[in-house]
Amino acid sequence: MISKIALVGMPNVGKTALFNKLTGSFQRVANFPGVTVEKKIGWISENGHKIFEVVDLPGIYSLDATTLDEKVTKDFLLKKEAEASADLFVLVLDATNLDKSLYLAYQLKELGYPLVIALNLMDEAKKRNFSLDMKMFSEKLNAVVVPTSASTGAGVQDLIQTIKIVMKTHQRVELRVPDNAQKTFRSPVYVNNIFKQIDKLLHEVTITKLRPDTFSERIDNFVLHPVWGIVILFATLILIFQTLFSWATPLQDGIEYLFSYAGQLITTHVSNPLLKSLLVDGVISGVGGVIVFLPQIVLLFLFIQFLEDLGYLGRAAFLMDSLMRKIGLPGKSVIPLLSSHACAIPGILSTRVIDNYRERLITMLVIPLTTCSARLPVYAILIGALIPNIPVAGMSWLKLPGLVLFGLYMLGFTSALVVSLIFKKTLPYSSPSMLLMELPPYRIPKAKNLLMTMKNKAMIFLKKAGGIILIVSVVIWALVTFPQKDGVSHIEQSYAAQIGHVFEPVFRPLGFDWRITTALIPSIGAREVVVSALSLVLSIEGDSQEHMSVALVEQFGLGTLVALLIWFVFAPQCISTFAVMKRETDSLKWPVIMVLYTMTLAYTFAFLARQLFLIWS
Amino acid sequence: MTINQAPMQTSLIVRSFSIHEVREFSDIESRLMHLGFLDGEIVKVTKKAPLFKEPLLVEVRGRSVALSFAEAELVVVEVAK
Repeated sequence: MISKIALVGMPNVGKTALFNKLTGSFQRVANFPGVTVEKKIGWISENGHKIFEVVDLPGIYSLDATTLDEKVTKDFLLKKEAEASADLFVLVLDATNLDKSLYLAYQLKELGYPLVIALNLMDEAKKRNFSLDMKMFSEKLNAVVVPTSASTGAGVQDLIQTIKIVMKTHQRVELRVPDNAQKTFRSPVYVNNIFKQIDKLLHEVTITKLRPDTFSERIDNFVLHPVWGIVILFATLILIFQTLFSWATPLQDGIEYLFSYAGQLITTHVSNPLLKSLLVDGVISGVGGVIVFLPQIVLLFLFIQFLEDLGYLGRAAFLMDSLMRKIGLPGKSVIPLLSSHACAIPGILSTRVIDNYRERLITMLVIPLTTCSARLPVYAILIGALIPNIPVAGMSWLKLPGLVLFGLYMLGFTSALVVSLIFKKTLPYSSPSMLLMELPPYRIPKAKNLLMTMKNKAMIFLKKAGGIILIVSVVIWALVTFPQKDGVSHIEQSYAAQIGHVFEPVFRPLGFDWRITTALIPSIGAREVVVSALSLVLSIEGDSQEHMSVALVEQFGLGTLVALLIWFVFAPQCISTFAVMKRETDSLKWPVIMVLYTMTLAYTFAFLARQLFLIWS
Repeated sequence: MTINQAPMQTSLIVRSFSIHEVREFSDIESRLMHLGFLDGEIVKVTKKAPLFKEPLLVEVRGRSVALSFAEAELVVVEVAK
């Protein structure tokens, strides 16, 4: 059986970069059982043969865990049969922050773990004039110490050789985990004792001292400046927003073009109309509907990982924390909430930056209320039908439709804030909300790490969410296609329409008749589809917007359209959001709660809006 | 006083989490201790975030640590002589 190695160390020590260097392309990403904490597993190989399995544990400062990520690592380490979870532990230390990273070293040493120490970032520490007595350092810690630089790869081969040697010779020992571990680990006398040992060790082994990081300090004078800091923060946020909204569009258009080209190929080469329809309208549009989100996801995670590696993410959280906390969320939730205005899917995936699970959950639950870009085509048609294109208060540059659109954005965002406060009051307490963090030094992100993250995120999305989305797309296709009459589909006679008729009484208070409820069914796949579905049910020729708007007013009346507009502000998210939510919470419970509460809000407010409109007119 | 009331850019001595203290410590208290906020440690408030004057940035054991208002209220300090 292949021997197992676990990589441990605090966050930001280059542990994942070292993992990438050790395993090369031999790795896969999964979740730890029962929780949505990423578990990276890879293999060290020699001449193409896998020789060791490596697991990259989430970063941890000490064995006293407070966040979900830390608890996963702690549970892994403190299992009495830790020997079974790994045969050898490689502890990664930060040579530029030894004082802090040695804490875990002492704890693990005391408990009797078989250790090899990778003294990472030694090149950076040397640049800052740091040198130490390596032999004494190794003796005092009772472990082989290998200096490494995960970013350049220096020392990685030495580390592999050392692991091989130690693996052959090391004795398996019983771990000495105290019975009341939690209470022991967090008593001041225990903590103080380890600090004393660290001070003593560093005093003995240091030859020349580390120069303070004045570079990061000088940058922080700008980045955390009361005026410039805010300017830089907003510039960064606007850049992310802009990227997701505009710069991802050409890529998405490209993907859509490829899929429509594939559709044309099928149309010309497949003669059976039913098979053709299944492939083009079911499979191709289903697969396309999944893949079209990739540019946004990949670009967002490029940004987030870049900012994280750079050291900026923590600073952004520092700047936003007090403002976001007023609405019950931590500073880091600003990125998911902002991203979700482009699309809820990257938004939900990016909530992983939030350490506290409860706050992460609240952020995920309210994300559907922010106005994603798929709602824009629906808004455009409905606003076109409802709102005259006249200037507001005599200002020629400000038109009423634009103002209404802005109002809809604000309505969505405000309700997200209100709902977040309600969840904050009602969801059970799990672990305390903390900012409490060390600001890491600034570092230049490495392209290879960024690419690796983008690849992993893309795979997670395609594999886990892709399946459900594809299945639902095909089901929806079947609902609007069957039963056929003389080999031709008529949406008004389809199963979708039959379901639409069943639900008509429920939605009558909103003014929705079976035509609207039928059109809402395919919109579960993707919201913007409601527009084309409506034109199908109303048998509108051509798809010009004016045409559509006029027909909508004639057929349904203004009150119903107001209700439909408000419905779409709150309406339950598309199936992709549901699938991603299910995957990210590892349960059906939360996506179901999300659908139920958004549906309730949508129904209530659409009803009220229509009643108010009818009274007013 | 607690550290959020302390003057900035001034050496402060921590007066909480003494080694004689025996009780159950909360997650936040534990995290504070592990970051070095122990009785006798010298710390300094270096920055405050704009708008609400919190969180604080505190220098402790050679590191910059961000503390929210609620966290800062748990750290008792006095000005070092």
